[in-house]
Amino acid sequence: MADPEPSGRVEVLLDPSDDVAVTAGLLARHRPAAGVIVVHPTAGVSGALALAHDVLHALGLPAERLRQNRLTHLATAWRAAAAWALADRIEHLVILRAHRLDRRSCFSLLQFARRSRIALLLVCHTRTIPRAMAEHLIGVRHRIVARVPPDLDMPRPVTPAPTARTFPKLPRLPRATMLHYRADIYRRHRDVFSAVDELYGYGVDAACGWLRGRVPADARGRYHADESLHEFVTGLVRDCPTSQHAVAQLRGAQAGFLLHGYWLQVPFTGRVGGPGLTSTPVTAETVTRIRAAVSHPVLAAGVALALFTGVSLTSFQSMRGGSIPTPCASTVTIPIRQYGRAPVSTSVLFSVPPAARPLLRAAHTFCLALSSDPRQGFFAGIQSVAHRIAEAATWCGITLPRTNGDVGDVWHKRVYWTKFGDPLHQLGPEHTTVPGRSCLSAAPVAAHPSAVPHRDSHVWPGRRWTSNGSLPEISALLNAYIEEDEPRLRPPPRGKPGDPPCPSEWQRRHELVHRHLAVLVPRAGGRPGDALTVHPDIPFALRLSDQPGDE
Amino acid sequence: MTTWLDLDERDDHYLGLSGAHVVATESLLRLRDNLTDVVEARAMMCVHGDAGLGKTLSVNASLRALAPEEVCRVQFRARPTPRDIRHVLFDALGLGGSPPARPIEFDSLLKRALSERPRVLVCDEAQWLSRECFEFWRHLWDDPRTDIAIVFVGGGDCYRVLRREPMLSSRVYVWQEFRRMTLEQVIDVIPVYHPVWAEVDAELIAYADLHAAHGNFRAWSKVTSHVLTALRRLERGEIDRDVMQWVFSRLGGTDG
Repeated sequence: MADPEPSGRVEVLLDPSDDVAVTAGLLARHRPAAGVIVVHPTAGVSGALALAHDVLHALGLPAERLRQNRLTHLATAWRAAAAWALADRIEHLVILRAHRLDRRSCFSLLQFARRSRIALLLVCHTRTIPRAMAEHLIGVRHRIVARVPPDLDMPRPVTPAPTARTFPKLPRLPRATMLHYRADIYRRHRDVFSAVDELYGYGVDAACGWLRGRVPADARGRYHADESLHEFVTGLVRDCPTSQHAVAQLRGAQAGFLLHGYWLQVPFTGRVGGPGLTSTPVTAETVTRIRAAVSHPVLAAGVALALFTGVSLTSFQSMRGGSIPTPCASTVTIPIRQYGRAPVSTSVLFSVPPAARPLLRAAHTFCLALSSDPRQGFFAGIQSVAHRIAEAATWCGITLPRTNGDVGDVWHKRVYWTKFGDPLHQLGPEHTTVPGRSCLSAAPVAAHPSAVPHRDSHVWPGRRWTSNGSLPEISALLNAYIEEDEPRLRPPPRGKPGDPPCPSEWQRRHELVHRHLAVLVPRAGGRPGDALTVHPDIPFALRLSDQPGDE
Repeated sequence: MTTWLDLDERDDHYLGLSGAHVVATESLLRLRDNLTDVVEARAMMCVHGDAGLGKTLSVNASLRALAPEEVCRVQFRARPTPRDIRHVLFDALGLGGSPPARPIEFDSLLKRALSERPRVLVCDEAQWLSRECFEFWRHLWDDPRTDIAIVFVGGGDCYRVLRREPMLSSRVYVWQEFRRMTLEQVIDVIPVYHPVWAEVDAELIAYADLHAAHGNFRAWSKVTSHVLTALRRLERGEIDRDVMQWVFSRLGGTDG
């Protein structure tokens, strides 16, 4: 008979001599990260509920606060165990002292193994399979083994966690507008400019990578605010320890979009919150702290959600089972709830940090086990969701971030991108010459001072910007910016003689725009008068020059 | 019913006999060697033998010398349950706060405490323990996080009780039986045991052993205590047969 596949396999190891080497050897194989857990049942107690708690404990969850975690009900405890086992991708479950299990425990255990698709090894220190177990193994394909199955010694290789990014400490920095952000940092915070520029370049590179292969906006003026954009921008800032870091990366991303002919609008005005601004990064260490204190999968996910979304805890009450749309839990959508009314159809998507994904997967599985209806409440069965999440956070010793409102107030809800003009870059692998970068311009121009930042010379004039020249492509982009974003700044139509003069308001704005987007410089060649040319901060923002304008 | 013991040296001796010494008998010396190995290996050991042969005294005295800060002694005088053992250990380890309500939580706490530093757990009167209790001890010892050696001490049929449990048979590293002293051992040991016997003729010591003590240390402790009383009451300066007769009359021994 061919060996059954590990998933769903049931084996009984008989060891009548109760050899200490068997127990010690199996305990030494306990490696949850490699998909193997060994349950050492609590002595002196019996019952399926106690066994469920033992399984949870073997999965690395705390033995304390079971009542507070609402895991003192038999079905709930086994549901939680199955959810965690699936999320952690456990493949092998070993139960020591299995000869002491009562009937109910045997039944619950076999059901759990089937639901979790786990290979089960029952270690009995008897000569034959105990009667209570044998009754439940009738009809279950199983076999008796005399030694430890060899695949327990060949567990899944443990993938080392990626090295976490390190972030420099930054002072409070001006947010500025995208076109002058890099220049403002250069002028006012020279001591941290290189650190900020590193983050900025990360954002430029991320934008270039995201745009590669993406179907662009096909017509000027079309606004795109789809979920993939929300996933991109929230994913960009989810690891940022402060809003200073988040803004630097987002401004860089905007520069990357502009280089490819798109305008990425990122609104930071008003009272906004959300990822990067009012969130806290969720790292592997954070998840370890959560799992050490919270054994209910949905509560654990709630703490993680509170950290990486940066929204108020009451926002989560409207979440549904379908809020986690993909099995890998890389994103989560949270409905915007109108106070006192049913949730509207609008929801906001967040990128889930990799470290938090197993928590959300476990919560999702826990939810689905109760009902497969995606409309079912994510926190079903938990009263006072906000209070419970806050309480769970205190168990972990984690301080939840101070938020600026609920999910309807997140900044990325109003993010959009639109086609602007022709790209300064052409995307393609031949342009990726800097290791780890998506586009050549992701590296500062100072890294290659004499090189033209872009290879296609017919697009790029082939010379660096100077105060006497102009960048027709950037000028075109700026004109498009003025037309699209500031239509009131278009020059008024030429009036007939006798028409009233230009409105002073228009004039004021016009000057304002010119001061920010363009400068007047003496004409080249000694010609009289001034010429309008691109504000030097703008090529600097695009990393096409190494000097911004003066303050 | 069940207690944990915080004993000092005087309490080792039966009746707290003043002036008594711990004598380096062959059994004690062998026990000390065995305990050294057991403690080093974080193993299990069983010290068994009839009552009154000096098992507990020997274990206490040896561990006091080997690992004075690491020993937790627990003793049960009726049939305990795993719950009783948990609570006794909770007290013996000096854990603060209230004992947890759930066994899994309780064991998590105990294991954490038992992993902090090496410890020797001495379970006296082990013959009273049930299979459930041994399962609990085994559970603590098998856990890879705990750093413990366990010494079971018991009289009566302690050996039989432990031996019939396969889980202990494969885990007990050393079995040591305490037996009655032979007459030669008595004659060597008793004069060192208490100063009152230091100058006593060997024949009289043999006489006392034959009729009252029978090679049992606890009995010798009782005899010695009565001898001290007799010398005071009868206003005698040394032990003779009359003194021994007086002692026998209290013990129920007879003169041939």
